[in-house]
Amino acid sequence: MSLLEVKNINAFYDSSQVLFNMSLNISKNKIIALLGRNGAGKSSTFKAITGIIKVKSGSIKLDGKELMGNSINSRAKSGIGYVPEDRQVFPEHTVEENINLGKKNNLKNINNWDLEKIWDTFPLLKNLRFRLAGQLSGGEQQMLSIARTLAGNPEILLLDEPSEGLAPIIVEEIEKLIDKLEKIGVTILIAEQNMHFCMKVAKEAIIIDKGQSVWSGSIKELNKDKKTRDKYLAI
Amino acid sequence: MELVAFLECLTSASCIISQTAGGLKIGMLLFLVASGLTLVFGVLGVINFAHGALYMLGAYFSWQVMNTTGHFGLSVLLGAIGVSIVGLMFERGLLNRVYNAELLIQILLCYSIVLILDDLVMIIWGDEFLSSIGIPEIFQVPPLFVLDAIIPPFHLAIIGLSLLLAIGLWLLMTKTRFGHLVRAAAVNPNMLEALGINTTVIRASVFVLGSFLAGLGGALASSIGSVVSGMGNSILVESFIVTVIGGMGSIGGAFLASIIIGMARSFGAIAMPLFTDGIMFLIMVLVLILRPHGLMGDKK
Ligand SMILES: Nc1ncnc2c1ncn2[C@@H]1O[C@H](COP(=O)(O)OP(=O)(O)OP(=O)(O)O)[C@@H](O)[C@H]1O
Ligand SMILES: [Mg+2]
Repeated sequence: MSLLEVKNINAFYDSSQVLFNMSLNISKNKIIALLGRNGAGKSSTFKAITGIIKVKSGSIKLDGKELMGNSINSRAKSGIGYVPEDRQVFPEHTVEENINLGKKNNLKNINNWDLEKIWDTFPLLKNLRFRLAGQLSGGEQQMLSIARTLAGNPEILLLDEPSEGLAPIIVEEIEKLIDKLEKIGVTILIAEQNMHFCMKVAKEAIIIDKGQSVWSGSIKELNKDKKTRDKYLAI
Repeated sequence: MELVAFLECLTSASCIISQTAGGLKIGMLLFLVASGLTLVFGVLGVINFAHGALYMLGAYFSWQVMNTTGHFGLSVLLGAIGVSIVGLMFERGLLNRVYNAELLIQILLCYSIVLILDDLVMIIWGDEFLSSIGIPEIFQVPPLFVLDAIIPPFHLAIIGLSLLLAIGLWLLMTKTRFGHLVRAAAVNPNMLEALGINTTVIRASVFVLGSFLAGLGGALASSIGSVVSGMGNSILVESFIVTVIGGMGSIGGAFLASIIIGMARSFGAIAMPLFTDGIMFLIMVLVLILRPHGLMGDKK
C-alpha cells in the first residue's frame, strides 16, 4: 500500500484552478522526484496536500487516513512534513528555537527526531544553534528548514526545490543530507526543476504538467527517454 | 507655561522624588493596559479599539466583587479573570471573523463593542460615578517620607506589582514554549500551522492574555479612582500612543514608552498643567519624525 495516495484532486487559488484531477502514489521509504516546468504546479501540489490551498474534490490519504477537510495543522500532526520553497525560517528565533518550534504538541512518547538526533544529522546546525536564523546563509536556512520539519517526526517530507538558489558546493551538502535521510528510511517527495540534482538523490520520478501528472517511472528510464524530457521538461 | 514652578521642582529633591514616583505609578499602570494592546496587535494584526472598554469592564467587575465580598485581592483577581472570559467570547464569537477583513471593518466591529459595553454597564450599574473601591487596609497607613517627598505605600505596591508583571511577561515571551510560539505566530502563522501548531488556539490565548491585562489595569484603577461608563476611552488613546511610540507589537517598546509618558504626565502637570495631553501627542509626533517605526519597532 502506498504511504501517500492523492487521487483526482482539483485545487484552486481563489477561483482559478491549478490542479486538474491530479493523482500521485508515494510508497514508504522512497525518495521520489516531482518534476515539471516553471508553473507546472509542483508547489501547488504540495500546498494542496498540506491544506494551504483549497481542494474542492478528490482524496488525499496518508497511511490510509483521509486528510481532506482537515486543517493545515491537523494534517501536519497526521504526518505531513512540509519544507517550503522559500524556507520560511523564523528569523528572530535562534536555530535551536526554530527546531523546537517544529516539535508538535501531540507527539506521544516516541519522537525519532529528538534534538540529539537532529544535531547528529546536522552537525553544522549544532555549531550555529544559538545564532538567529535570520543571520544564516541560504544553505544553512535550507538545512534548518528541513531539520525543523523533521523535529515534528513526519511520515513524509515534502521538499520544495531544496537546491534553488544555492551554490553548487552547498547543493552537494544537501545531496549528502538527502542520502543520509534515505539510509535511515525517511520518505521524501522532492519538487525540482534541476534534473541533474534529481538524478543524484532520487530513483523514481513523477512529472507534472499544467496541473496534471503526466508521467511516472524510474529516473534512469527518464534519463534515456529524451522524447518525454523534451515534451515536459525542456524550457 | 509654569516655568518657575517647573524649575523650582527640578531644584528640589523632594519634588523630583514625588513626581518620579507619581510618574512611575501612571506609567506602570499604563504599561499593563498598553502591553495587552500591543501584544494583540503583534499577533492578531488587529488594533483592538475595544481594549479600553475591557479596561472599564475590569473596573466595574472588581467594584462589584468588592461590594459583594469586601475582599480587595479577590476583587482585583476576579475583575481581571472576568474580563478574560469576556475577551475570549469576543475573540471566538466575533473578532476571528474579521482577521482578514479590511481595517475599517475591524475598527467598526471593535467600536460597536465599545458602544454596547458603555451602555451595558450603565444599564446594569447606572450612569453615575461609582466611588472607588479604595485601597486595601494594610496600605491605609501614613505615607512614606523620602527626603521630604510624600509617597503613598499603595503607589509603591502598584509600581512593584506592575514591574513584576512586566518581568513575568518578558519571561513568558522569551523563555517559554508558549512565548516562542506566540512570537513565531506574529511573524509567520501559516508556517507555524504547517508545522502542526494550531494557531487559532494561539490567537485566542493571546487575546485572552491581552484582555486579562486590560481587566487588571481597570481593576487596579478602580482602587484609586471612581468607576464610570466611558472611562476606558482616555486610557485607550494613551495606550495607543504608547504602542506607537514604543513600536507596534513591541512589548519592550511599550514598557519604555509607558515610563516616558508617565513621567511626561507627572512632570508636565507642573510645567504645563493645562497641556499635559498635548505633551503626550508632541512626544508621539517627535518619535514618529525621528523613528517612524517607534523606539523598538521593526522596520516592516
Ligand atoms: N498565489 C497564487 N495565486 C494565483 N495563482 C497562483 C498562485 N501561486 C501560483 N499560481 C499559479 O499556479 C500555477 C502553478 O504554480 P506553482 O507555483 O505550483 O508552479 P511550480 O511548478 O511550483 O513552479 P516553479 O518551478 O516556478 O516553482 C502557475 O500558473 C501559477 O501562476
Ligand atoms: Mg514551485
